[in-house]
Amino acid sequence: MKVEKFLERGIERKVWRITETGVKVKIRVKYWVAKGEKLEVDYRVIVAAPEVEVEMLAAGVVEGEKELNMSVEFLRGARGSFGVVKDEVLIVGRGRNISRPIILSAEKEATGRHGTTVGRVDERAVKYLCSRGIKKKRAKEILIRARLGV
Amino acid sequence: MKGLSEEIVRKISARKREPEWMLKLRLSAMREYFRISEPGYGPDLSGLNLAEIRTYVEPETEMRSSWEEVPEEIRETFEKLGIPQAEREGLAGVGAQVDSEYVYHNLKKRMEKSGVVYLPLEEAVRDKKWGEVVRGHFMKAVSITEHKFSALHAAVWSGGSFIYVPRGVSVEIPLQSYYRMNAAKMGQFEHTLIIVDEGSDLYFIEGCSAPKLSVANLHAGCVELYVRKNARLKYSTVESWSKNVYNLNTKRALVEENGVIEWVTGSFGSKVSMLYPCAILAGEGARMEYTGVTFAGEGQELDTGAKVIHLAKNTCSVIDARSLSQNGGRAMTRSLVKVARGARGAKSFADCKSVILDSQSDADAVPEVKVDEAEAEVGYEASVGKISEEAILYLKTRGISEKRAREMVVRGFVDRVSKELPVEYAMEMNNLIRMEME
Repeated sequence: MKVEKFLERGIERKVWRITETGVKVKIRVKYWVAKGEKLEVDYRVIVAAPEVEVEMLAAGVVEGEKELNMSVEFLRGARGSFGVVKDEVLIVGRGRNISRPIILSAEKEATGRHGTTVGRVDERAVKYLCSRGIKKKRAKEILIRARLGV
Repeated sequence: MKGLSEEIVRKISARKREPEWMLKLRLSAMREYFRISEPGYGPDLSGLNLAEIRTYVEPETEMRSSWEEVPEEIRETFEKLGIPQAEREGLAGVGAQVDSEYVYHNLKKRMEKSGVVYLPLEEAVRDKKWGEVVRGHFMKAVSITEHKFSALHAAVWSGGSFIYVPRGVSVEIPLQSYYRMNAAKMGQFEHTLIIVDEGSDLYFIEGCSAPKLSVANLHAGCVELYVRKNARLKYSTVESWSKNVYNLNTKRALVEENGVIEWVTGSFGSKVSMLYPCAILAGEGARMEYTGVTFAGEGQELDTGAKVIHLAKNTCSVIDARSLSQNGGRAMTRSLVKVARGARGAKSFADCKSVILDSQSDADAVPEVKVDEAEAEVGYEASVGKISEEAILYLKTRGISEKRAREMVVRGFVDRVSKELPVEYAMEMNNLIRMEME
């Protein structure tokens, strides 16, 4: 199962309940929340079967306000299942970010990993582009688009 | 005295001969307690009937400064716990509390000579000089409206310590307080207030225990720590309340410029715990380090973690939290990293690992990362899974039994915490782990 989203504003809520053995779930969320915009994301994957793989990866830029909840819940019986939840955030200007990557597990034989990184645009890369005659604002935009792949 | 009422609050305050400001604060807190709802997250607290909790229990003795004067039955309890021996061998001072009051308090002479103050908090409140200092700091780091149990605590607090370390003084050996809950259906509400002045250094150890009872007891203590500019405070706790205790403790440190707070926490007891030591990094260059381990066994639901709030530039925090769950226990690691706007150059890194030891137990990791500053760097990672079977297999190939191998791997998992504790506490922690795994 594959879900790919590019989000800029609004409220996005979804729950997926996986009941078949061996399913691979890939959820990719990219976001660019401009100044003055708000984005709220609440994605839950409930794993009720064995050998399920879940990848929930989010990455984006926040100039406005963003709240992201991504959770993987392993119910008892989800033996051999694996879940990864990640959010990589670049904050620009007066952006405000809340990230909640959550793992809930009632199954000893399941493994979950989650992480969040919050950082900024690489200033050295910005300087390099500026030294090539590109304006600073445009340089940052190039680097952000490169990071997001858009 | 059961439950909470104005009459009970006034009786407690009168017994302690408190100044008017403290009574007013208690009554204000009582009103807030009735106004605020229970937390909307965390473990189920429905088994705790606050109306049945004895909010004040007087031990059958006055406070002493020599172990020989402490009544035999109380002294025996603390001797079994190794407190008097620890004081002789390696502590600068000790406070021992039973139920709602201190029964023993002593500070070594050379500490007194260097200006270190270590008093039961009630004495400090009544003291001409220190009373004003307490007034300026009591329930300021933790507000009475923080949550329902901080309000309850402020209304009926009893016992606890006041410590002041003057400028530039380094207390080379630790101070310790030990809390014992003997009575059934009681609440213990001790308050620890520590001020470590500019450039000074202190290591404080807190221990707690209670006998096994079949009725609910409540621990709603409060710890407020003030770490001034360039000062350093290490606060270690090994908590082994019995499994009938609801442990709803609140701990907070306010850290000024270039100050350092180190939290070292081992949580092994209680039926239910909600415990999140928190640091507010208010001064430039302030730092927090948190190292903690939680072991949730049969019948336990332990919701623990760390919180840090970066308010100033170039502040730094590191969180290392480990949890284990076995025999149907549930361990939840709940952490908060918050970076406010203006905290340029703030850095934070958190690493949380949870291990589920059998098929009946649960582990949850619930972090929150809130960042309002573009010039900050925050990294958070966590994992939830089972014990390493490869490590167990390797040890078995070396002739070690499976049971012993599991115990060794678990002790390796919590090694970072035990290394930060004095030897006696590290041994106690290892014993607690061994008992849980048997």
